[in-house]
Amino acid sequence: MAISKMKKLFLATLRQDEERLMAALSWAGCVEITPCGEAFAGFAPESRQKGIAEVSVQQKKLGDALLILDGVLPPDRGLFKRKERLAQALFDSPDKTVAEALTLADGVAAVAAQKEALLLKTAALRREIEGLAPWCVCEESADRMFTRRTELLLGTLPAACPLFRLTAALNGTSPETQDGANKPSDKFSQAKSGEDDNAPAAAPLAAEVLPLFCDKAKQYLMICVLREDRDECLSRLTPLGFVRADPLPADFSFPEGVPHSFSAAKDTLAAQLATAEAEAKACLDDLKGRANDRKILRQAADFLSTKFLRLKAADRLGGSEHTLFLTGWVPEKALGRLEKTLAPFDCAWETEDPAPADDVPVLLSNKKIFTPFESVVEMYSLPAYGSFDPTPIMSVFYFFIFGLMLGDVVYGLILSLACFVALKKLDLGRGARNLISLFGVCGISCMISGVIFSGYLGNLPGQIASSAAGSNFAMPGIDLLTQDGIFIFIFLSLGMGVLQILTAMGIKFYMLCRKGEVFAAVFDVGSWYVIFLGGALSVLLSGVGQTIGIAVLILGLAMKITTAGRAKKGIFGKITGGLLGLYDIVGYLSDLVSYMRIMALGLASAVIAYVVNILATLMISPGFSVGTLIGWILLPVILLAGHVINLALNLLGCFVHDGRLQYIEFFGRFFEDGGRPFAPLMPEANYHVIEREEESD
Amino acid sequence: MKKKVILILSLVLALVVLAALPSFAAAEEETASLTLWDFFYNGTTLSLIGAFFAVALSGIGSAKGVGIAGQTAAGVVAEDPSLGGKFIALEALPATQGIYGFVAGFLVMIKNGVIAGNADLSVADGMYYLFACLPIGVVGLISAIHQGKVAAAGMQMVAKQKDQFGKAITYAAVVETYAILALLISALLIFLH
Repeated sequence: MAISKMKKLFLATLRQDEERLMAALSWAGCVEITPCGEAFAGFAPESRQKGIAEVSVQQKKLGDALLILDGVLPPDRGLFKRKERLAQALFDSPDKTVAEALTLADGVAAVAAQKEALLLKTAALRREIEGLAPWCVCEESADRMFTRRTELLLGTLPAACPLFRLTAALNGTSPETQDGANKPSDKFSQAKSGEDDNAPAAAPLAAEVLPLFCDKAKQYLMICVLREDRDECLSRLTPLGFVRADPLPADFSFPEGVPHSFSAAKDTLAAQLATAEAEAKACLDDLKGRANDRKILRQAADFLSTKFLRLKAADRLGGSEHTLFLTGWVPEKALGRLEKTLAPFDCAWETEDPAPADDVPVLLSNKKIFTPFESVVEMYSLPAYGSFDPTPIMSVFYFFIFGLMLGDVVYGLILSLACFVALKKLDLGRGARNLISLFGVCGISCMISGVIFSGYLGNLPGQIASSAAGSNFAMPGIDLLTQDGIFIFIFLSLGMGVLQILTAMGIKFYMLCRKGEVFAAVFDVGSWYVIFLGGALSVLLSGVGQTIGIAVLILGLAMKITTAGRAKKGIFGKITGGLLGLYDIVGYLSDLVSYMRIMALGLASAVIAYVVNILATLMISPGFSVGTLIGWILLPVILLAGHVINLALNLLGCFVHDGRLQYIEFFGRFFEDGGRPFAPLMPEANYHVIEREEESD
Repeated sequence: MKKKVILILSLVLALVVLAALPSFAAAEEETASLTLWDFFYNGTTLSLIGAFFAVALSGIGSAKGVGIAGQTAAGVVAEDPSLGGKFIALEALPATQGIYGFVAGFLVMIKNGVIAGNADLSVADGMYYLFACLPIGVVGLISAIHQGKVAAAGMQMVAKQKDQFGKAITYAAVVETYAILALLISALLIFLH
């Protein structure tokens, strides 16, 4: 139980061994390499920086290719899918796989780029076809819209502009004079009418307007004019909103043997579109057929991420052209493993104890039964190096409080079984493993308190017995939902609080003594013990015992008042400080009351289970009209849904509030946080589980 | 918020006054016939109004608190989907007040005999249950909303500092203390009667 003792490691070896050494250390997984400091940092080979840059470029390339493939291939990863195994030896000679994967990645990127280009092309073709569609009525030769004297103008006019305005403009008359009293009332002509009144009448142009097509926004027109009138015609029509159109795409040319009409052009484009779409589909199919490539890419990606970490670690090494110098941290208990790892190398190494000023990393190492609870501590903060690891003591409290909050045999059984199966069947990281084992262990506690408080899916056995047979059967144990039951539960909750607070004070006492501050330990913490002891005696006992209790209480109070203000200056400061020290009693009381949440959560889970049972057994009660058979079918459905929801809700509540009790009420009294987690050089694999030749603990 | 609380409390006061009226009426004319008045102002109904306050007020608070936290969660997870799972825990924290209210309401139903089917309470007993339900109702309403705000702020903290999840949870859980104290008093009052 404790924070692992760390040793400072100094190691000198030959530079030619660098790669081998990094590989060996990463498999050993017990050395955190630190920057070796000014004194030894004389030599930094350029090739290493280049290597790091190269590997990250390769990683990026593989990552991009994997992203593309993951987009088209069916997903084959997930919580419930086992990862593939990959032998350790492969990680040390990855070059061949990596080279192959890089080629494959290039191929994937090329096909994907081609696919993108084709998709862009199809989109452009679709737009062109759409633009061409209104002109298909025009049967003229699309690329020869003129004769010697005349020219055909294609163009569009806003749909709101009536055609007669167009013809009027061409004839050089204003529409009002043409239409006489029948003045058009649409806003388009009103807006224009002001100018027209002042404009002098122009000479009529010889022009023919042929409307081709009309949609909601535009009218598509063909206007036949004399060549010399063309510019004049356009200058008269542009104010009306006429825009010349060139329906054929810029780079379009008619294939041979095809009539040069707009509809033929449209058909040609449609054929091109079909080809492009087919090609894009072929690219997609090509990508979809690369499931095997993805496997190789993933292997290479895992090799590279391990290589990258090794290079990064090697970057912290010092030395000269031919020698290598390494500084780092190694847990004392891993020294044996380190020795074995380093045996094949020509190297000199030594360890020493950390100096007080060193930034020592923190690794918690506890007995196996307590390791799941380390995650609870880590979620708060690691303890500072040299302080106290509360994991084992906290585990005991966490375990029992969790059970009290969710006291039910069946819930506990489900929890433990589910977690056990998950641990066996899923590939989980260290954090997830710890958390799941935590729930699994706490499931046992739920079962224990379930037996005490007769929780078997709430009161299900009794409820079924009374609904189906009308009997008064009840499982043995204390019924929580009675006056007696609730008081026992409150007593247990507060008792847990008293125990834990006293334990926290004890740890504080121990830590102060270890630091040599015995005086502070006795007067700051010990005096509270005396006060509590005296208080308890005087309340619980009678007669002589009570008198002794009161005496002890007074002694404790006196200790507190006389010493709590000892750091203050002046007699006045010391007295007020002493009295203020007593004020902490409020803190103890509020912390104690906080433990009532155990009762609140326990009650909540029991009551909801009770409600679910009432609803479910309503189905089989004789007074209910569903019928016996259907009732017995509905019963498990309601039970399942209700209890799953209850379990999920209360698991969250227990996890949060049990943790909170530890963090605030327990840790708050003694915990020194701010430990830096130990980060040894380790192999890293995202897609695979590494099959180790020799398991490290 | 203050207005709402005042509104709720005055509603309760009005009920008390109204419930006291029949006893004056009964003193004047001693008829035993059951009127519509008796139908509404009897012990069982009053205790059920208490259960209503416990469940409804704390339920409103939880809905609002979870809503606040959920909106923030959606915003943050849009930026970083990997936080989705963690945030469900933070989002669900303000949901407990609703459960506490439900527990109190249900305890009333056990004690006043509605579940057992022999509900027959005096007006004084009903009034007792009504008041016993108020702590968790009112405190649940307000604490759930504030817990939702703290949970939302915690999510923004975790978005920037991923390893601070434990603290974010703890900050939000501290707010709940007062809902737990209120439930404690409500539950004790109901049980002790």
